[in-house]
Amino acid sequence: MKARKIVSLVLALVMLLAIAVPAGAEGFRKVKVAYATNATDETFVGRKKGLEELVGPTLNMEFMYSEALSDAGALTTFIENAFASGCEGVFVDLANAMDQGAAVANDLGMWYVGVSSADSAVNYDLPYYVSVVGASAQGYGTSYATAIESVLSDGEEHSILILSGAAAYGATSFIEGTAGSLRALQEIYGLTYTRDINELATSSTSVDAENDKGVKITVVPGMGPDLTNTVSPMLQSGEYDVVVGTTTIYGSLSVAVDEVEKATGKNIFFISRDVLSDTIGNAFHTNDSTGHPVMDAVVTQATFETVSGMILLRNAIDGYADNMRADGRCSRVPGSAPLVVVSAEQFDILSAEDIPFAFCTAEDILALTGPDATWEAIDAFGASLTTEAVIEKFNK
Amino acid sequence: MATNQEVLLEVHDMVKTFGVTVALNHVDFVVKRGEIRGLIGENGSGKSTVSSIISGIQKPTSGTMTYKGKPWAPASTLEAQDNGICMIVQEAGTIPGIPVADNIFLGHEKMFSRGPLVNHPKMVREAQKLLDSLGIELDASERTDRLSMQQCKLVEIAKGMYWDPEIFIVDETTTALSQSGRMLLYKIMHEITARGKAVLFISHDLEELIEQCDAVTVLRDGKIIGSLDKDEFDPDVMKKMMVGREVKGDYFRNDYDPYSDEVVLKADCITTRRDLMCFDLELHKGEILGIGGLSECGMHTVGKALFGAEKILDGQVTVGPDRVVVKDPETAIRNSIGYTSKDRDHESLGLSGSIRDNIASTGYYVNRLFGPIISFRKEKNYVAKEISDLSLKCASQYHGVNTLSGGNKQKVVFGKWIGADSRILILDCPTRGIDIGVKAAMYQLIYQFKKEGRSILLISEELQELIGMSDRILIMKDGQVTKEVLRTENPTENDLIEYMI
Amino acid sequence: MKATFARIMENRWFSRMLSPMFLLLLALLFSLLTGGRFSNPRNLRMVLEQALVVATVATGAVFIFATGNVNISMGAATALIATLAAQAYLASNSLAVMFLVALAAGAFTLAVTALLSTALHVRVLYITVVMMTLLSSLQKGILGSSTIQIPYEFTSALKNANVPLYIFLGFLVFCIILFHFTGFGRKLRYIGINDVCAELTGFKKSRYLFLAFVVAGIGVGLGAVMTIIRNGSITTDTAASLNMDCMLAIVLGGMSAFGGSRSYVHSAIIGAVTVTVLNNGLLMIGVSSMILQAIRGVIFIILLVLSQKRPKGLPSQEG
Repeated sequence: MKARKIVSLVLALVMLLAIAVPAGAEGFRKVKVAYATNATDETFVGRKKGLEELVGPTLNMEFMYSEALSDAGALTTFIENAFASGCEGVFVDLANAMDQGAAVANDLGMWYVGVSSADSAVNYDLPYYVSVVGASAQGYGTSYATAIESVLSDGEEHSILILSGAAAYGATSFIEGTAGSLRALQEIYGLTYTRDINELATSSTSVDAENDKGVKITVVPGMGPDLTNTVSPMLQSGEYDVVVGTTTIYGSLSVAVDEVEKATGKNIFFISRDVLSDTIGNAFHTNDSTGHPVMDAVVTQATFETVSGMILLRNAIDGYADNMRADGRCSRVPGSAPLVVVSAEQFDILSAEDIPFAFCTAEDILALTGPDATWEAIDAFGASLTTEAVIEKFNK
Repeated sequence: MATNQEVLLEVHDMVKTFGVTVALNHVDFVVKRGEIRGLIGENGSGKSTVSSIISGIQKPTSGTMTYKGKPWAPASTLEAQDNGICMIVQEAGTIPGIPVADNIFLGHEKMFSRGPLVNHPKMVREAQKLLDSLGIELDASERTDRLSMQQCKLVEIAKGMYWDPEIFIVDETTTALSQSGRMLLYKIMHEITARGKAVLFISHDLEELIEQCDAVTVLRDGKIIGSLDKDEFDPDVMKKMMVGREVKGDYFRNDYDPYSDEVVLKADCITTRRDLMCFDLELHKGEILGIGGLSECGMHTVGKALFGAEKILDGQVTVGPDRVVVKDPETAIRNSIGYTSKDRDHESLGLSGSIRDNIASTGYYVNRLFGPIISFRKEKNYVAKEISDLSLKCASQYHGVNTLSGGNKQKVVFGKWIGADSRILILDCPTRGIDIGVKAAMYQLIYQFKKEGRSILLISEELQELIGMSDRILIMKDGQVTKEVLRTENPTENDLIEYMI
Repeated sequence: MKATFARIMENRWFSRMLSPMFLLLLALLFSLLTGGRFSNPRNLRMVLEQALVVATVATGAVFIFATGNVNISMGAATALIATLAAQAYLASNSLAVMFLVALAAGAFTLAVTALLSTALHVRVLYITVVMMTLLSSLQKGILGSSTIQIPYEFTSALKNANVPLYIFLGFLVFCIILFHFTGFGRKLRYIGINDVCAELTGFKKSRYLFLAFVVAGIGVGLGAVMTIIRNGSITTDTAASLNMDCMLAIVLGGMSAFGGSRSYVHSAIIGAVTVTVLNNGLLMIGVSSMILQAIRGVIFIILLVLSQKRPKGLPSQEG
């Protein structure tokens, strides 16, 4: 019968492939891992590239990517379908549905790593819940503080506009980015705020951070295209000369900023959260109408979390889950803080062609696998990837 | 009229099939110069099919045509028009939103254009000239949707006439025209045949054909049964040829059965949003009450108002011995009233539904098994009974209503209300567009209803029908009853016409 | 040959069976291509469960669509009701309260939609376009910046007890009886066939539309409860794609988008499952997510064209 012929053909092919494919680099068994993402933007594309070109071949892992998922139901469906396709691990970059996803994966017996900037896992003792990775909120806080210090330590007076992104919705990285910026300003000017820093950071409406030194600081929530509509008029007033974005703002605000600079003849300092793309590179290298660089500082999206997550999964799949978890609960591996780039030279070094994804080489990755690897070691390695260390490592 | 005139068009062995249905079955016939040839047949006989093939609307499945000695196979109506064959049809052939002149010259705008621009005033002038020459009193710049149905038809006639066609095909057009319109059309027809052109006249109306035609060809079931010349014309013979069996001479009633005094349906000084002001009417048990008049006299509104489908501003409609007030169709139906609208296709039927869907729509309550659950078997029988009682020709009760002919569609509508055992029936133009055989059956049916003690309100634009069927006739004009006459007084058309106009 | 084909196309069972048959074919195909992994009972159950929310809401929506109207706000309504029901649960810790709130709020919300359409004499479609935004904003307003989290033990216990499946089956049976076995369903279909004719047959459109919306509202309430069970958390993104998925399921499942005679309650589940089978099956044979979207689109269009095609009838002019 025709159907039987087809089935036997398929089975034969499968067997052939199983024999033909070697056991993988360094003796790793080939496995399939699912990657759940909440957006298919430039950041995702960058990570996918890193996974396909570096992590996958090094760890002999094949990845199955989801569409842009928005809610817990879609995540559950994806994990279930991933299981049906033979995936043994799941990496979830969807902060708000992390625990639900972990529960589903656990039921199916799939190893699970989530991404979040807080240690907020609720069902952390599920046996298959390996770890929560992701630059910690504090990491974002310190990175933003560094950025501000580098830009504003010129002893001059400034008025600062801080865009708090999704802080009002409770997204920790944004809250910390805003709070970190406010704390840095506190240090620089030696001022005291009239209200609690956290309160200011999570405000759902525009609010002035009133202080005893009279420095004009305003916190504005919101993300996306609407931001341009709310922020442009504020910039047009000429009141601010520093713009700090805890979210990616270069795309939406660069034009507005340029216009205001041309109109007022004053330079506006621009700090954004972004990837090290060509566009950003141009921004660092080009001067605006006032003779200053268009971009002053960038806090990069942390990329180490992707690598650490896969290393953790690899080890768990290979049977070393206990070392990857922390005493019966999922470990918390913040790894590296987001890098801060404050000059065109730094940008060039960090975005050079041969810079490996997440600044990890294949050797670095392999050194963290195997029966002796621990989650603490992975975390420590990540922490060692500070901006200075990385620049030194790759500066030729 | 010379007997051996020149043959203008010849149709050879034409066959036309639609899927499994055979519309034309090896048809041969000729059209000669200078003659008005009538084409008559029941629905499904093929008469419209053959004319639509001649005029380029569709192509035959097989067979050939010869026109003016050369083979004729038009690809479109425009090609036919350019070659001198024009046709006007039963349905609307004009486009509503544009002026009359644009409709007349549809497809030929190039005649008035210079480059990409059309000289519209010139088009209008030319159109007006045409209308005037034909004696049609219309303004060529008027928007077509402002015209009445008759006026639209006249525009179509003008459109066809502009090209001075060799063969002018008139397909069931006269039903849309009033007396004056028909006279105009007949005048044109005779005029052009006197000039050596030919007319192919398709109609249901035997009297009309006998009056106007030089020869008549009868079709039945896609075959030509025979042709008669003017001196052979005989209505009974023609009816027999059409139907294939004996059709009684007078197919209306021929009794004078009385009706009861009991009033079953009463309109008490009702005023509606339009047409009626303090209108009174009483319908008695076992009575066939006819209402006639011109189309705009308000009689159609009366039908709707009595069914509760027209908003009544003042006064009321009451039904039955308990004088229940009819304020909406639901109440009317609950009190055993049924209503068939003049606009059969849009108001009385759900065209996209099946025969069963439509007939069973009045039986949801009676066909229950228990509680609210409906018995499929009961429903099927409910529908099957009507199909058989009314001799409805259909493949199965699950077939769509839109596949049926006009007569059968009306049977579906009847089936719906008879299935509901309506004691009072308001019938608005029930035999419109239906051919003789089915009409006869319907008249018998209506008489049957009367004998069963049902009461019927028969609203019709055909005086003959009213005279033939009613116990009592009300003639309306401008929302008022202008004349009431009893069957026993044996009224004639002439008696009544003056009260209508 | 051609005649037989024509007869098959015109058969009244054909349109009813086309979509289920397509689904079966699809399942067989995937089963073959994955060497039987697809038809593993566990996988099949998973696929069914993935379709349940859409199936439930769409089953209720059939009542509205049958009348020839379109409701494009089913998803927004579900999200709002889920939010309210979740809050009710957190406040009362009672499953029964959550259920009751969901059902009552669902029926109420949709009843209001119907009344608005009737009172303002605006087509249902336009009212629901407005409702889509209105209900969505309402939900965002109530939710604020937080996420409502339902305790995992609670939702997993319900999931393991197959509560969503039973809810759906119960609702399905109820709807099948109501729609196909009573005068109510037939009246709705008749209104969809020709609403003027239906009025003249004594079926008041305003009344029956209202009732249809109430039934759909019950479906929304049940769907909201199932969303809570499956998702465990309510955010502003919850049920985001349900607006479209609901309509897609109905049409894919073989029901006419214009309602009328070709309206079937089972279309909802068939359509919903077809979508999930496609997703699951294509992922199983290794198709990447990007191509998946494209293939989905192509198959949708093919099915739509096939299900809308009508057999060529006789010309409308008599003769």
